[in-house]
Amino acid sequence: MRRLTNFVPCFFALCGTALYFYALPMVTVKKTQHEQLFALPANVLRIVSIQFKELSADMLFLNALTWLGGAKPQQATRRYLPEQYEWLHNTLKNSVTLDPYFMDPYYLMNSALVWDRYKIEEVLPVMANGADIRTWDQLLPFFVGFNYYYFLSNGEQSIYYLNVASKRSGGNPFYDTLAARIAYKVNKTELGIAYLEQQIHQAELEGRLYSVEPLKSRLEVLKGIRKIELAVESYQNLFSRVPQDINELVKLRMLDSVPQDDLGGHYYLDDQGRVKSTNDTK
Amino acid sequence: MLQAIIKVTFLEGLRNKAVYGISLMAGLMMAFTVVLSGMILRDVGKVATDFTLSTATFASLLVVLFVGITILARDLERKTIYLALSRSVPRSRYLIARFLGLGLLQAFVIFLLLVASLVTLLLVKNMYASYFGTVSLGLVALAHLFVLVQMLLLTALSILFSMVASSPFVTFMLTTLAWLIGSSTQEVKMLIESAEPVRVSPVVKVLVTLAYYLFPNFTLFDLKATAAHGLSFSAGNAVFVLLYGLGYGVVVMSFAVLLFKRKELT
Amino acid sequence: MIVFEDVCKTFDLERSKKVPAVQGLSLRVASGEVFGCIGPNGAGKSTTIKMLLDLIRPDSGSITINGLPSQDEASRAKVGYLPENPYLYDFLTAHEYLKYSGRLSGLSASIIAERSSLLLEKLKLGQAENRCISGYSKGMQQRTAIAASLIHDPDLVVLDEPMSGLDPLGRKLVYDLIAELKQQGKTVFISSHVLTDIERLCDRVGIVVQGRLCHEGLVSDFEMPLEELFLHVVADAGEDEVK
Repeated sequence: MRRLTNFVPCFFALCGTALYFYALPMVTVKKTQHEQLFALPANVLRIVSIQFKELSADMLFLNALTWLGGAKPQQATRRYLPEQYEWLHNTLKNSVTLDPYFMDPYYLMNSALVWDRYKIEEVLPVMANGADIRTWDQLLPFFVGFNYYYFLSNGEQSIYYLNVASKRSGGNPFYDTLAARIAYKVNKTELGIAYLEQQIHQAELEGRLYSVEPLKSRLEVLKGIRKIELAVESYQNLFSRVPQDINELVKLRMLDSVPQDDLGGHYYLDDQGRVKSTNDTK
Repeated sequence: MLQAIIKVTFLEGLRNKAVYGISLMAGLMMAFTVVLSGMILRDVGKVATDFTLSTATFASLLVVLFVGITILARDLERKTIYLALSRSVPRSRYLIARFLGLGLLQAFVIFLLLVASLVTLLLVKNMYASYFGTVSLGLVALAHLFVLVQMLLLTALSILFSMVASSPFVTFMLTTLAWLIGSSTQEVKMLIESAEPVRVSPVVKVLVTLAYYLFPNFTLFDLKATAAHGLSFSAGNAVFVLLYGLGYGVVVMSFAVLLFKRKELT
Repeated sequence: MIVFEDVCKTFDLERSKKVPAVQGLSLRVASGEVFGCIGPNGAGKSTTIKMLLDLIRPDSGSITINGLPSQDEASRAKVGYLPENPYLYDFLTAHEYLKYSGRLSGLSASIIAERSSLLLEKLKLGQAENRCISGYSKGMQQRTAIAASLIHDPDLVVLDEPMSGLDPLGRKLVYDLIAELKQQGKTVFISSHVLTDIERLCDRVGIVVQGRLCHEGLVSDFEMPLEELFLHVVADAGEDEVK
């Protein structure tokens, strides 16, 4: 009889535990349906987290990640609701406020906010700050550099961060050639040339000869494009209009020959006289 | 004489059931860290380090609050202190010996936590080598040392409070408050002094500045971010922090001894 | 051995209420003497003992042990104390507790081992010596505390209610132990409510009522049983309960 009375509370405890775990998913589903719209201000979080700021940053990120994993975008727009984006934005921003060195929130900002084109002008500076602080990381400045050109057409910031990525990667020519290409895209070919010359010089000084070749070939391309641009400028000064095509410049001997595009396309002039390549993609 | 008191204090802590509960909790947290690491996108090492160091901080804080305070409070409440003080044991030596015994207990617990942290981190590193990042295991060990110094300072404060508090519960509340205040004054002071357009009353500003200089700055001992990201931390900085903790602890214990010498053990 | 000179102690309670615990106490206990201190509850006996051991400080007057002031730790080098209702470190065994007690007086391990086995045997604790004190009965704890107070072979033994919590067998053991201490020429200061034991063991007795030493004298000089004398003295002192 005594053994039975000992067994009864254990039985109820077991039933209670099983019921709890059964009910938990239902409560969790309701939570995501109502959305977690509340996010504490960052300075309050910093104080309340006391010595566990980094842990709080981790938990905020995990909160965002798990929400993203379970959330369903609207069928019609294939986007989340504005308040959901705002919550995600605030949560990730708070996470990096608590731990600015934490990479994952920046990663999620890039994939979930920037690529969904949500408040890019606000999100990108936060990512840029992370790129500045994470002095050993080449990936984040690459993301930032890319995003500045691709989403905001800000060539200057783009080149700056790609340069940072290049330095931190020990001179990976991929970043340098991309920076040069972007300089050309924003009509700052001269800037691109100067940048590449500087990178080549630096690479030679540091003995990174493996990266010099690709940089030199990109430099030649840019120099060719610059020649065309200078020829177009001279033509405009003489005739107060843009030339019809590059061949006209060659005919008038303002250009020796038509430079080659290293990707196999060919150069042409648009209606505003800007040098374009048939390989350009937007 | 001193050795006997230190040994008994250490044994009292080791044989306290709360220590086993805290150790179990810490063990579970460390195991959970390994599981959680699989959910992280890139900074796996950093998150694992955050969890292990936070566990170490929290567990050792619990040892101070639930074991350390209990030991001294029980000694005064139950008058077991009479055995030593009725002999030719000076009160100052008794209190210092008790403090050293509690310090030895903390050191032992934190050593176990360090071993558990390193094992956990090495396991995570083995599982996710390319995502372990720039975690510095050397700084993780230093972070544990800083936790020890922090908890020794908090122990000294709890001893000081037990000299004036009317019950162990009051000592517990005062010690907890001291830790909370010491861990947040730096942030609050920075917030108030920042250029944010938040109007703060001058009285609040004075109180915050007072609290900042009066209470020990426990955030100095928090090396989590530095260890998790392998940031630079100079030897000079380390020495300063250790000397700060030591100096502050000496001052606090001096006050505690002074009060204990005058205390009536009715 | 012990000299109390006009010692006074007043306790401040809440709401500014002051309670005079000891008033103008003057008392001498000679070396080798067994002195019994008796009195009603709240008379100030335990307060007197605590002042002797510098656990609390007198407001005025002086207390000396072997010529040394009580505030000097050296005065207690050869003092053994058994508090009233002692609590022990219940996480230790009796063996460990006695070892700790011996170490506090600077005894070596070999002497501690020798004396602790002797005392534990005398107080019939030999079989339980390696069990945690938390599992002891009240009587066993009391006997362990007595053993701890004697481990360092003190010259002055202060016992506050030594028979508290003991069964008749335990009381016999403690009685024999105190008698042995007397034979060894130790000075013993006992505070107790068990008047028959006081009468049999003590050389001199002091009766304390409301913080004052109302009567003091050799047991051999008493003209009536101690209990009767006690009641008379307490009534004369104006203790309402007795009247």
